[in-house]
Amino acid sequence: MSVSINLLLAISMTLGIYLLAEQIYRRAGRSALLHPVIVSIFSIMGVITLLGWDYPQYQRDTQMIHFLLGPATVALAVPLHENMALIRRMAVPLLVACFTGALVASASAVILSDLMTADDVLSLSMSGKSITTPIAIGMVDNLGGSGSLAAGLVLLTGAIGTLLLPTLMRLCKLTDHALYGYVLGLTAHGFGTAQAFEKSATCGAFAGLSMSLTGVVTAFLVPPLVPYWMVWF
Amino acid sequence: MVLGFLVLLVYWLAGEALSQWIGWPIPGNVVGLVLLWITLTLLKKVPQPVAEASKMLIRYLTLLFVPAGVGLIEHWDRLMANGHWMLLIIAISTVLAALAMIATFKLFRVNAS
Repeated sequence: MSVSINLLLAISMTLGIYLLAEQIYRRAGRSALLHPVIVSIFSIMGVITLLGWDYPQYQRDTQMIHFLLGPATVALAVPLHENMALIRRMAVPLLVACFTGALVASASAVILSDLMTADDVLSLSMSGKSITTPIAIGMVDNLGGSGSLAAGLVLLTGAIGTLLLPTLMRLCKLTDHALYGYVLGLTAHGFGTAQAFEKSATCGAFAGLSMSLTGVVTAFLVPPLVPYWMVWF
Repeated sequence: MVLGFLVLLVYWLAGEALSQWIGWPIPGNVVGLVLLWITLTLLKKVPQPVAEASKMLIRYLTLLFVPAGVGLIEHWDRLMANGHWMLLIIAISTVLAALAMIATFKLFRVNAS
């Protein structure tokens, strides 16, 4: 069996850099700015540029890794199922909060982006900014935006959310750990969930729940609505 | 492990088929997620093979979207031209979404814990 050297190089480099980035993240005390995904993406961009590769070629060579996003997204059903038990008692208001939050997070970003930048690809990609990356990539690609750009916006949203939200919640006097986590997970997905787990286990579990719920709710509701949010330009 | 992986693939396949059949622009893997979630709710437990396969994939979930993330390199001009707007839009939208949720909690007088 003969496989192109480039393909083997691209996959080994991606795995190697990711594992190194994980080590750096651990040693640096898990700072959100040194998240392994951020470090890996920028290091690989640097390596590709230095080697003179083009992205479409790298994308084809790493197709195997990208493919696993499919089953991994389906697998999110397991933690979602396990976390749903948390909200039995408060199910209706928490679900209403999730629908409201998910729609506001997506619609406001698309409308503002359409008004401020008039860049259609960017505005479409903004629709997935608050949802977990695997779902955002698929949803935005289907919509005609750019999955890669969506991945970047999701990371940016996570970083900004973890910086802004603690202050906002203090101002709003939201101290209940469960509700605090629920807001963090909805607006700042995985980054928010990691921050919530530092506060308490309850906070983290509610963040994980709202992160997965928001991904599902957004993927079902937002695609048919997006055209109505982009009427300005 | 392989059985669990097969189950995830079959649910993805079913989700993809269903979403193309209905013609609703939802990614097939999210439809697969919902189908599996419904199944788990009906079963009231997570079968061992599915639990193992999903644990493994979710453990390395962040690695899986690195190749897509590297594609940002193709949007360099866009980032340079509109980067400041992106930061502002994301900040405003994040605050609005959080306020909308907090307002909902107040409206329903939620006290979860």
